[in-house]
Amino acid sequence: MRRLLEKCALPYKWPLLVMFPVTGALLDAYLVIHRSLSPLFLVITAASGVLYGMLSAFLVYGRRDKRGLSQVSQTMGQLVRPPGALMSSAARFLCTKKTYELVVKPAIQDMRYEYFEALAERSKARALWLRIVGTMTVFAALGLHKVTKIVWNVWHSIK
Amino acid sequence: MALKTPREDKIPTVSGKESVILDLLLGQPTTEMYGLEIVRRSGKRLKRGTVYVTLSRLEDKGFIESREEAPKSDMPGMPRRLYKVTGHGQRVYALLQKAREASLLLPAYSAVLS
Repeated sequence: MRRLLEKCALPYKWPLLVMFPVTGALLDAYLVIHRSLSPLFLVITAASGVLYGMLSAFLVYGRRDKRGLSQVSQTMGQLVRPPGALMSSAARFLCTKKTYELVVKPAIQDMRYEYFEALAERSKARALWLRIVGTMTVFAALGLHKVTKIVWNVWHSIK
Repeated sequence: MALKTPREDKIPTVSGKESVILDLLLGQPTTEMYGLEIVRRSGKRLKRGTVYVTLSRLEDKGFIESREEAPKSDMPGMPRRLYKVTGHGQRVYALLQKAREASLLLPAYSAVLS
């Protein structure tokens, strides 16, 4: 049992990987049986299922912790993954290189710096608070960047 | 990061937030600042969420330049991005300051002339 648990070190993430493809396959089967929609819809559904599967696989296995459960449990209470790591890899995947380099990355870098400073001062509560604020900052910066870009594009198209 | 060459036919503009950042960076032109330092020194005139977007816009305009600091062995984490004003940014800001002063003096001048 312990070996089995060690084999799936991230068991809580597997539903993410299988949820959408399975749902998509079930929907496809239903549509094929009843033939109520055009085949193009089936192709789009299958393509989106594959894309979601790829994204999920990237999120789950892209940064898999290869250590076993026993080793992970030994390091409990220590830093395993720096804050903003998942956000950074997701932004690198979703945003343009320029947006990532100039907006997302500096925000994450500053958040990490503050976070580690707080940890060095042994202030866990402050570190947690800075982590929350930093995450919100990244989302706010990204949202603002997108809104500015849209307004800019609309303005130029009108001009 | 390659800077855009400023277009000669275009008059450079600086928004309120951009002006605050340039003001802070020009306070110590030789030293470089990172994003959160600018927010702290601005005294609530800038917020964390807006500073990075404004900095990227300023960099896009060629008013500031940035680089990643050298990694330190005693401090873990990613190295921070440091910003400083370019020569073009300094000149534009100085000219805009002069234009602002002139616009402030304009009512007095017009009163004298009338």
